[in-house]
Amino acid sequence: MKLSQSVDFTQTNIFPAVSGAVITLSDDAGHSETLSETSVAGQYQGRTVLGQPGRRYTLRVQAGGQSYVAASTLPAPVVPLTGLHAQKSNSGNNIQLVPEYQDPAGVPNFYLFRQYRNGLLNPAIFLQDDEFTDGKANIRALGGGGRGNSGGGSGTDVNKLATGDSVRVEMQNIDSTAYGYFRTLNLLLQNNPLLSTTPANPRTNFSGGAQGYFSAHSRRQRTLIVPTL
Amino acid sequence: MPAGTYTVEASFVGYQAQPRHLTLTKSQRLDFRLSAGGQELNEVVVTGRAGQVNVSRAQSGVETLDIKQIAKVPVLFGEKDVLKTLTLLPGIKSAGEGSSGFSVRGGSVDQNLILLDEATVYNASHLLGFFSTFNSDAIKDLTVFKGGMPAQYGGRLSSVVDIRMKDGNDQAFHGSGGIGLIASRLALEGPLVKNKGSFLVTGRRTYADLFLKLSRDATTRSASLYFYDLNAKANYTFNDRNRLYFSGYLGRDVFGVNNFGTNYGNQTATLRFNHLFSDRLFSNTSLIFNKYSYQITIQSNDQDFSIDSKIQDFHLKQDFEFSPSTRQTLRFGVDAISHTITPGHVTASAAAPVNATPDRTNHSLETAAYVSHEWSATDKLDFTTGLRLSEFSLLGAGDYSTYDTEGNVLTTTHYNAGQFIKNYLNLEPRLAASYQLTDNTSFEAGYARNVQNLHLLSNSATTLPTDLYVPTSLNVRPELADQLSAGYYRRLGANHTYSFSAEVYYKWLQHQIDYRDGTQLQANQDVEASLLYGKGRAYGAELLLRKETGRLTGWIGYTLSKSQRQYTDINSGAWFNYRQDRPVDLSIVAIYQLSPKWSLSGTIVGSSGQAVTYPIGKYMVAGQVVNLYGLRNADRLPPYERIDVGATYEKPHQEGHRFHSSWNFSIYNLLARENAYSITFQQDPNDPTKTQALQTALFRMVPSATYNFSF
Repeated sequence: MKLSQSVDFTQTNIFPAVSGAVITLSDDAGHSETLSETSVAGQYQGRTVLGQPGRRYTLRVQAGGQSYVAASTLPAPVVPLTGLHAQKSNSGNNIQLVPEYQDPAGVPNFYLFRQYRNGLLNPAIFLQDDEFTDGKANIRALGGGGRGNSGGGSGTDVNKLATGDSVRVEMQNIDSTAYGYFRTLNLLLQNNPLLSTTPANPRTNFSGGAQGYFSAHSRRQRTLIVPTL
Repeated sequence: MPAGTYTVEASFVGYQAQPRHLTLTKSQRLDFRLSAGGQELNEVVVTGRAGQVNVSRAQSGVETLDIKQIAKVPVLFGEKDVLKTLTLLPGIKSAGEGSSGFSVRGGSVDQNLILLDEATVYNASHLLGFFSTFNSDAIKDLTVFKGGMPAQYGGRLSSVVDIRMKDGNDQAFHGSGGIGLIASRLALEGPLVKNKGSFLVTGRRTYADLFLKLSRDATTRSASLYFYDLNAKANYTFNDRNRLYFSGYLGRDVFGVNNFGTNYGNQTATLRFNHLFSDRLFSNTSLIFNKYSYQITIQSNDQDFSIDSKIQDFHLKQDFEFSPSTRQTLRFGVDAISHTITPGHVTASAAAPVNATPDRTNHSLETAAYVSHEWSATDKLDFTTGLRLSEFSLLGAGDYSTYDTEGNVLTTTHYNAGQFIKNYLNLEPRLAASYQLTDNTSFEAGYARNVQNLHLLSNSATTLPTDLYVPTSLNVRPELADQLSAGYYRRLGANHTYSFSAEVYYKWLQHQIDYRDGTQLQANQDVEASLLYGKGRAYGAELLLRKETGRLTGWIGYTLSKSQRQYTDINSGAWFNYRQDRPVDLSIVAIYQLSPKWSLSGTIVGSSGQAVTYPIGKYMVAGQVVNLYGLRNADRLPPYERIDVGATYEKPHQEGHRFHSSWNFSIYNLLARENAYSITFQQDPNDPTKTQALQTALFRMVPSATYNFSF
């Protein structure tokens, strides 16, 4: 759990950590604990309340005389990441990764992917859902994930994939409120100046006026050495 | 004409004049047959049409643009465009640089009823709005009603833009055309039966894709990118009392790259029958079809899928005009429109990576009856009193839901085909009175209510081909606008060279529609859950000084206005500025005939920037710096300023040749000012600890040349 403050728009990007907050994590099976602050200011960690697919978790934060509450369900079943392959992007010479998984039919599912190139996290947030692909084996590549990073890294060179790279992909099964947060966060990060859509804060699952998210999710990962394409 | 004794003289060049005396007691018809001969022609006097402002008519908020008038006004890429030129008039603002969308008196883009020979054109733009669908070769004129719409018009809150296509020449075959930077045009016209019927066919196509063929990249070479417009019109006069018209339009934008393709466009067809029952009773019957559709296709081996969407109308209209006396005209009629809307609908082959979606086509019926009475109570006082009764019915088949204020489904009901799901009945009074103070001065005041039952949802500042149309439904109520307006009109100068008008208005808007922040409109299967309903207000003053005769013609328009909205769930229920709220707007248009060969033109445009939302802070989440936003539209883009210039060279006419040609040169944004289209905020790539503002400008300086010809 990371807690920090927003700053004024003109200031440098240093966000003061919020120390000394009282944070409790509970689930719908009667477990509860208070998260303790780690050696890093503003970072809190729990020990006893563990993740169980299907359980609903509630996070309560008390800081600065305010309280903020968010809830998230750990999705069940956890969808296995069965494979990972690389392909050329449709439009150019970029390399994209395709996570292979079988979407469970009949239930809405939401996925979030993070991509690490040679150990370095690509800040792009890749999202997939099954609104139009319920029950299908996935063939969609990781693309369009935020701040100019389309197609797994046509953005900055540091994230652009090349033959021989070691890439790790992490797949998270997230719930609909977390998906709603990241989808609207991406809308904001990818705001196309030509569409000049009216920007708005993402749909947070926190009450009390905080920005950010609380997500209970599973995590699967696979690593691939990018072949010659 | 009052009964009495008259002398009527018929004359024509090269024929003997023939006067006849008659005593008029009832309507009668006279035929003259002139015999050849008569005097040699000494002098030719050519006169133009009278000035625009007819100060004695009870109609405010009306402007007319003649295609001939605007032909020389400089425009982007040299493509004459009635909709772009329209935004140079007071009270009409472009939705954004290069956009065909426009806002009238603080309304939204979808609140304008755009009619092409009576057929509704839903998306009047090509190439993301840089061009309108109206090929100037096919257009005769355009009338825009900004307020006080006559009762025969209905269906939109802000304006009616009535565009009429040219009738072909019924005497001889002629052609015209042009070659421009972006597109080429060709028009052919001539008699079907001399003096009885004529036709006009025009075509326009862009050729940007020809340049793509020059690319070194194979993908770019195989890409397609073009649009075209085809217009056709024919008319036939059976006899003095019966006349038939047909007009049609077909236009499409096509874009394709690799296995991805998209196309969109409009089709319209109008069949119109005019019948004169008597000298006092005129009838017009129209049968109209129009359709806007888009299609997105992805083809790869056997994994094809496509997204289709359309909005289609069948429209039957019957209008009568009855003039019981010279002081009165009564107009009345009925109309019925059957709408069919298919929101983005996915069809997919079995092996496709996506599933087909259920077809959510909805049907609705929009009917209206109106009566309007124009009455000259005295020589100075005129009244126009109108009433429109409009009814909207949502029809089955389909599943329709109701929602709570949070957007959660309360009930879902299945309705059968043809079943009336919900009816809305509205009365729309339209009143206007004008008083003529002197020969040159008049006042006018009016009130009008308008109702709108089709609503456009767009998540762009302008419009996109994939924007979503939703009908009035169980949850969406008809949008209402009440407008009070008043105007002062005056003709100035010797021979009434100048006309001046000053108009003020106040508009109340109800049941306006917006959507929750972050709503995905494309392919949204349940968009009504995301809608918000609120109200609006708009007010302003518009000044227009026009000069229509002489070597220098043009106008100066100045607008002061305000447009705001209020929604419970936006800005905590406080009033906020509407996106198109630009309090000050100035436009100057001038055309100067330098010599018989050369004419010069220029426009100056200046306005306040659009209302936009800037961040008020920033924070860190998921490893990224994210902007924090406060109140919607609390900020404003920098002011917009632009100067365009143009010159037209007309090759002197050679005797005995019917071929004419001219060159038109123009420079859009002469001063290359980088007007802010949008301002976005991002992490500085050179210094990630800082945030930078990024201004996007669309067009700096765009020179263009067009060659036009006619024969």
